[in-house]
Amino acid sequence: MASHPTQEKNSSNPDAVSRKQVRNQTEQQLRPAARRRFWDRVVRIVVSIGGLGTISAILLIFFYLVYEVLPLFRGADMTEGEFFPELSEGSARLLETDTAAEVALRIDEEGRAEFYDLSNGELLAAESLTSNNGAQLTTIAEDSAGSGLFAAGFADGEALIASWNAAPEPGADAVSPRLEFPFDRQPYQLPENEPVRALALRTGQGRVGIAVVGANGRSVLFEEYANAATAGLVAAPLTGASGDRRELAFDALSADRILLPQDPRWMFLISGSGELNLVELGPEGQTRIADTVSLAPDAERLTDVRLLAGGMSLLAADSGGGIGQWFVVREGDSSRMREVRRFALFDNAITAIDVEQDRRNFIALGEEGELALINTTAETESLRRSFDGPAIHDVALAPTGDLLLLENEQGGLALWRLDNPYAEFSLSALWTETWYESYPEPALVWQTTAADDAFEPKYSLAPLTFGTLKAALYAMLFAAPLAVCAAVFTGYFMSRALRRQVKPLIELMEALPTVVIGFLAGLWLAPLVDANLGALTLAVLLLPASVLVASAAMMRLPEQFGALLREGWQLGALIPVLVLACWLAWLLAPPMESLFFDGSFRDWLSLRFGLDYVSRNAMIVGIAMGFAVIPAIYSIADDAIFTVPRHLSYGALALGATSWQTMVWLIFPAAAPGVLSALMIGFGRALGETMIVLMATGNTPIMDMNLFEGMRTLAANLAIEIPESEVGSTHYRILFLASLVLLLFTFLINSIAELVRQRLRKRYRMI
Amino acid sequence: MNGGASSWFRSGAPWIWLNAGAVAACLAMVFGLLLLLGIKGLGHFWPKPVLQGTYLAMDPPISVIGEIAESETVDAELLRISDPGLPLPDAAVERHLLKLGNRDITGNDFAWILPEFLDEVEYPERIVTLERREWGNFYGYLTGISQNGEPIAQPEMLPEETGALWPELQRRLDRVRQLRQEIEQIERSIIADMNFGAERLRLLELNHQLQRDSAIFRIAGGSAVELPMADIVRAYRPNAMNWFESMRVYLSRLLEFLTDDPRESYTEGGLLPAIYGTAMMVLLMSVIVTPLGVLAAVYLSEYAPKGWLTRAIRVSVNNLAGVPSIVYGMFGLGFFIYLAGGEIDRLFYSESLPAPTFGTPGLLWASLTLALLTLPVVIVATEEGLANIPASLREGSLALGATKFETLWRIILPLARPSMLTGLILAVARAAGEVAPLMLVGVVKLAPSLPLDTEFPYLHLEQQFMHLGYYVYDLATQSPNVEAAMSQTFAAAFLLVAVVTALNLSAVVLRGRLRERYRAMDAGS
Repeated sequence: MASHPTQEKNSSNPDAVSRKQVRNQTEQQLRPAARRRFWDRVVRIVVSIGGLGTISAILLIFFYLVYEVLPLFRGADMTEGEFFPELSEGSARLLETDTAAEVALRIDEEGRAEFYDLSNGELLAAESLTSNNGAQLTTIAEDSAGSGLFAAGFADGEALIASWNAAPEPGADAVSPRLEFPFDRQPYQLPENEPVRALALRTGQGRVGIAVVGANGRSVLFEEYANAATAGLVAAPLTGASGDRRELAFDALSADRILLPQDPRWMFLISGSGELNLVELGPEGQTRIADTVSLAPDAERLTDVRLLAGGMSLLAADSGGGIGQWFVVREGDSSRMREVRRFALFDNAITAIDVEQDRRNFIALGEEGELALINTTAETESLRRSFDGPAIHDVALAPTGDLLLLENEQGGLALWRLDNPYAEFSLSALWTETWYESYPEPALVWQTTAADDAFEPKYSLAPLTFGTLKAALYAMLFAAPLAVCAAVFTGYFMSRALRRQVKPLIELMEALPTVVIGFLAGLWLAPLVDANLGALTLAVLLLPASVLVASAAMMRLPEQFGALLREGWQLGALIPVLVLACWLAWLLAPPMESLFFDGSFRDWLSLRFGLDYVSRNAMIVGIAMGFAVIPAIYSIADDAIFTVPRHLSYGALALGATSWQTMVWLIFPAAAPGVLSALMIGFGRALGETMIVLMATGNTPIMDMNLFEGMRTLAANLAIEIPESEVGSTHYRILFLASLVLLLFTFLINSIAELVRQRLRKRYRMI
Repeated sequence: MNGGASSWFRSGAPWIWLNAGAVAACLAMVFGLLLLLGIKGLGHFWPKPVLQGTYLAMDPPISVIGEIAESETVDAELLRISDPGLPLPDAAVERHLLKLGNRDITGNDFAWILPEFLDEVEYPERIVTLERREWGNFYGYLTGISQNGEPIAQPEMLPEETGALWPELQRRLDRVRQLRQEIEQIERSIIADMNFGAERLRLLELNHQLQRDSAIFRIAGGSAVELPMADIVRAYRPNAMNWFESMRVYLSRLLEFLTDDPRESYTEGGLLPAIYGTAMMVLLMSVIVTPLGVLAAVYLSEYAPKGWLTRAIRVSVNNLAGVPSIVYGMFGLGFFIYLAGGEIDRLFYSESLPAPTFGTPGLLWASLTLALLTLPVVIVATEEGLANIPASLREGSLALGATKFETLWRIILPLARPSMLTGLILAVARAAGEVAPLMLVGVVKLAPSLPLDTEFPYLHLEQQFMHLGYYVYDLATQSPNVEAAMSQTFAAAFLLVAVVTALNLSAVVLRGRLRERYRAMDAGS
């Protein structure tokens, strides 16, 4: 270590070699003072920079987590793109883009389909969409599954399923968008050949459904089970025989609009006045109306209806500027159409709405050129904007939600780029009850992944926070009494020599890797407790009792034994007593259970109190994590009690108090803040513990205080989900938010505990 | 008597005893846990006797051969639900988990049995236990040996006297072992030299030779099974072995555990890659954390201005030691891997994008994350050491005209060296036992190669690695056959606990010595 200055010396003084035996002191006296001061300063700077750098590197963790979380709170951005004036005439029946948002398809009132290049507004191709008999287009509807298919209805009562393709045809290099008929123009014909007024299309679950309303208001549902020709388009599983087709006619119901939600049991028939009939499609002949509601009770009329992504919710826009989200809710035995939420957006009528393909986002256009971008689940309004100039009469959202098409009355088409990555996040959805699709009522749910793209993610941190607190609470219930009692004994009653031996042994518990504790808890303790719950309960009662009995017995021992025991050797004697008590509990449990609890304590609990028992439950976590936090609590509490100035207790003892009275009335109150800070640090440790919870519970995010059920904690959730989360996604950032919550919470608890301890230390110094 | 009891209560003695009971319970838990791990972990390697019997609870009764892996007492009521036909006793019954082996032949290698229904139990000396490269253990009687598919002619041996086959089997297994060693050597040289041709041919030849012999066994139930000897790792007759022979098997298994590669989807064999990975990661972490931690501690205690800001920083650093480790893992994943690693990939490895080189979990990032996690430990320990050095020494040095740097370099740091060591040991112990952050930043169940090898650049910082703690987690929760892996998990857990406990105890002893020394110095001055 000392070689460094020596070398410096050698280079500066050539005849230093001769003085090599004369060591440092002499050299230092010879060293020019200026050089020494220079080095002193250099080291000061280096250490300051290095030290501060290191410290800021650790503190960087705060800033980094905040940096990852902040984008969540940013709304959506909308930037103006190209504008193509006078592109088209009249209003459009269909306006949409391909998934890459490079080509737009516009089908006008007469059925002319035009394909535009969105980079320059060039017309790429145009063709006419007519029926097999050449009849004119009357209406068009997109597939509720978001497959890109659409159904077209014609004036001769025919309906066709079509799609469009913007990819180059095989062999050709230029983009040649075109209409395609995946079902080979196979027609669905209304019985009386009346013109089609409205229709709806639903694919998925092994079938194709197309519902058609004729000009007379009567509707027909054609349903077809997937066969070889449609298998590629319609995802399995099949529920009917392959290739089957059925027709259901609804003569009694008049409708102006029709929608087919993704659940094949339902069909929505909507009249012009906004009345919705919920039709339950049973097997042949058992179709019935399950519910009738008014979609726009307060407004004059309904202006637009759409199915939200996932095809379960209906959005109903009205002339009063409001939009309601409706879905089928199970209430007891019956199903009802319920308005789950309502967005009061504008003061005047909403003219058009469009939805994103996978996320629950929709855009609404108002009469006066107002525009709002909404996420239904999170109830966030990501964007609101007003447009002047020529009235906008149609709006289309690209499937990915990053491009917006606005068409004005003069046929101009404006492109706007949308940046709206975190629409599914809102603080209220994070912490309060949210009504999710197909749930009977609002709930706090954490469920982030599913096989299906159109899945509605449920980001509620409440169950995870609840699980974290539950686990920590049970751990504290186990650890706090043991650790504090142990600290009371070693900190005050035990001889110093013995304390020096015992304390490191208990502190050794802290060093045990938590993965090992988790392993033992999950795979050794859980089955053990599972089989011996009665014995465990009995042991909880027998253990303290056995200690008391042992102490009473030992008081009667001859004096010289007693003296030996009072030296602190009780411990040695007590360990066998405890082991004996456990053995006794194990022995007595089966007869006790058969006598009082009908054979099994566990079954008795579940019968009597309705407590479900899961093998990897909160009790196991409580014991295992309690074990892990005992040393943290014990170590600090013991220090707090031990450092209470001894002369305080001498005074009390001299006045005739027993040593227990001194402890209870003097030492413990003096050390109480320290003990409290110990408990806080133990609690903080329990909040963030990952491996034990991960391995000793089933990790199901439920909210139930039951001792015999599991939970999922924030920390375990991070370990489970972050490896699968897409970088930069809402899910990813919410997980970072969870870790920030965890960090701030534990940091706060630890800081308060530290503050308490420092004040205590100051007070003792004064006594 | 009554008065005695109430005065006894009033004296508070029972409460003191209850507190003593809490200490005793804590100690009992620590020792109980260590004992449990020790017994189960070290017992894992001891060859267990193999029993043979007829199990009558089945219809028709079947003959079983196996080891008793576990025993437990269960409520007879539960068994009655699953097996209504059995004439069971009233209360609790004992049952054994029998390890039957032969998974490739019978499908399931574990079964719960009730000892009451096990008849004709014996421990025949001729039963052979085989440890195999695949499919776990095998139990059976050796009935023949064949070479190139032909039984070796030994007409003088009657079937009952197949005992003479045993030395022959061992001889041939030795040959297999030698061949295998040779193969490994050649494989290693091929990887190193890229030398194809002659050695490749030799390898083919050796592999062919390896398949020459096979052994024929009779298993429970009487059917004969032929097993190639190349699949056999170890063969012994547990019931015929005396203590010394058992010890030899024990030591050979222990050695395999510590120095060999895993086999049978990581539930058997050795832990070398995991031990090696853990050691590499901890070593790398130590190299990072020691200088930085000491630098920060020296700054905080010697150079930082004494004020509320420094105090706040000190408290913050102290508190960061209590922040959940998974949060560090999140930081490591987001900051090191996606941000820093992604940037490195863009700058230096753009040709291999989008396949990430550094933008993916790996050794370097794991070490850095753990270094960050353990920095507070090192800083706190070193600072404590610096603060405990008697002020008289510092003042003496300054009074003699030394600069602050000289005092630090010649007087204080040498004295604080042991406390730095304590900090480092504690950091290493924490890092060796930490799993949660590593799950995010670098460990894998299966690492195809070790992070340090003979290939340029020798140390592969970007590679993923195996870790002892993660191995325990993975074996305990993700293993397809948890029962079969249980005992191996205990052994791995015991190894981990032994290493971490030894490190911690050494830190405790070191710290204790240090305190004595300072006290002596203080008293002397």
